Amino acid sequence: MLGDDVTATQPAPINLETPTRRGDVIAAVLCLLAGLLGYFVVVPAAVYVPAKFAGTANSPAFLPNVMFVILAVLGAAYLVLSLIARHRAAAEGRVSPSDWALAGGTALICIGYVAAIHAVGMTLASALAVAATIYYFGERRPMVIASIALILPMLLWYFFVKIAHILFPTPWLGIIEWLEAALEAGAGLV
Amino acid sequence: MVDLDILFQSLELILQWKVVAACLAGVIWGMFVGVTPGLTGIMAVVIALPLTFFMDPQSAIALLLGIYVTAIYGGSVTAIMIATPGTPNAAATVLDGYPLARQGKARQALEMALYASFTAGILSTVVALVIFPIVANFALEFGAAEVFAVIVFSITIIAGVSGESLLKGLIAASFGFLIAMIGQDPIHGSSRFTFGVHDFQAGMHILTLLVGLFTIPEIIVRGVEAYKSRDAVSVGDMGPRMTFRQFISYWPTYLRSSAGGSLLGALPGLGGSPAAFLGYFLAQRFSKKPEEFGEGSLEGVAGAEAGNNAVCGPALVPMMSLGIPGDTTTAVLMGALVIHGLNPGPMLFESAPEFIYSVFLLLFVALIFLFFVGTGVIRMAKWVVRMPTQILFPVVLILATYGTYAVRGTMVDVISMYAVGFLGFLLRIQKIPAAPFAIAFILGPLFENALRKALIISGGSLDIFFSSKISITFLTLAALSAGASAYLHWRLKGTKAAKIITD
Repeated sequence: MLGDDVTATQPAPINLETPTRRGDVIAAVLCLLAGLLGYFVVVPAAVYVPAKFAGTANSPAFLPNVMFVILAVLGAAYLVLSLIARHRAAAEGRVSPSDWALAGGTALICIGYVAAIHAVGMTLASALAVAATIYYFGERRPMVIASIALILPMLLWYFFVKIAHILFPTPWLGIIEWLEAALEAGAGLV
Repeated sequence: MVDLDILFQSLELILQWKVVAACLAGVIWGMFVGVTPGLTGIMAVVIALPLTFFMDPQSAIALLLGIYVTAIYGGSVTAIMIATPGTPNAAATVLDGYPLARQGKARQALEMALYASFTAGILSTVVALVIFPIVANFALEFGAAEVFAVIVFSITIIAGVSGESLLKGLIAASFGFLIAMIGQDPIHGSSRFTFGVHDFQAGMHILTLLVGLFTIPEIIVRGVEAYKSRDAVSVGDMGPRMTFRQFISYWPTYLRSSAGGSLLGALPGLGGSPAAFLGYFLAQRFSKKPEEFGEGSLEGVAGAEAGNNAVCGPALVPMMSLGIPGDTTTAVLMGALVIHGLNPGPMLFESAPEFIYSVFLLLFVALIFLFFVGTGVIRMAKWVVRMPTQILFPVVLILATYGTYAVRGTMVDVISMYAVGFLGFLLRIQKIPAAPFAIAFILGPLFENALRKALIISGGSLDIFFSSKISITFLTLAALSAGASAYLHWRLKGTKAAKIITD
């Protein structure tokens, strides 16, 4: 039957953490490129070498160069082994696209969180990030989300700012600072 | 031999209310993390690390040791109740613990796990206390070439046992060494890989790397699982208590499995999981009822738990005496000591022996707290296994961010932490192990210093690495361990044993 045939040719869904041959090949190529790029581009550009030590084992670039060469060699070996396995291996499973989307979504929340810290400050950004992540991970009760989003950042703010005296980064929009100033001004008026 | 005068001085150091309270707090936090599937012992230690910046070194190490000891046991609670090891160390406990729970003997299994963990912990800490001065005195003979050889040996072992292939382990270690080079060159002080970012001059902070490497990938992976499976956990009847006669009847198992676990713990890089399987294997090998193993044997639980908890004390020996961490968690402990201005290694034993002994004594204190807290947890085991991961991991994400920022007060660390986290996630989905990455990062500066100093001394000649018996021995061992690891991976490929090692 047609349906059966389609099912038979579809690779079985696999766990996100199950390494695939395709993933191995991509990872191996990336390791190889990282090693070559590091040796030929990054070390010459980003390591300052005093002239009298150039080309010696005492040079600041010596170990970085050795490690990038080792990485390139290991990457090449990984690639060869992955390619051999690829030819030998039968059909294999694939990670479900929804798993990739879910993982990618978490990564995007993390990136958004860091950007939000710059924009609105640590406390407000954390409240937004924790609410977004809890919702994204499947919790749907508004009271649970709201109470954690409110209580956790406030507790952390109190501990880090008031007890540990750590200065949080100054946000671009400065909402919390504006609120604090407004409250102080309000208290002064009263 | 152990110097009793110094031992009593150490006792005075730890018998302070704040040190004891920090240890108890660590035990409670470690237990919470241990019983929570997905939160590993290393994550527990890493998340608590920023708190230690505001403590004295004694309280800081007390907190971290409390977590270290307890998280290993805590993992067995979920392993027994819901067949989900709370930490990787509890993987072998599932084999007999869960069948016992299904037979209505969950309480017996949990009590056996606790008592075996406690007994093995005490025995192995005594062993560590006795062998430490011998190893430390031996370590005083180490020069740059010897230190280099020991690090090469450690990396080959760690890379070989922490993943499905030696190759992937070595790739991970290469990344760790390279990231350790960000900042100033240790000999000349010139900038490397800073790209004009001032905050990179001091290098990447150990906490930034560890939080990124261990916490962020876990949150991403567990987030996917949390979204997909929101089923309630069903737990059966807890059953009768274990009798004293039952406990005492397995004393040869405690001894054998503790000895196996202690041996593996003292070797750099092996950690709790292989020790648990060795303990389980030894229990089965010498059991009068080997056929019960896998079907619900209390002796199996005793073997696995005695094996993994026997690692704690001996794993501190290479870290404190040589400056080479025994496993990833001891690597973080080593980082904590460095942050507090104490550099583990042979000189620390010379300059602050009372501190070294106090660390081992704190292990005893942590184990006593573990006993009492663990007893309480067993009574609540039915409820404690129901941690909502949908809420837990977002909270961990926020704590990780605050903790990273608090170290140096710079957003560069937070951005670096997330960058390492995404890299860690990509490595994890290809089963490129994180342990060699982290340990290479921690050992990187020591490795480079030793290598370059040795080459400066020898005028660039490699002969220096083959001029002493110690360095020749360790380099030979490194070659043998790399060869043995490659051979074992090749022989075990596709087998059940290989899957256990990989997982």
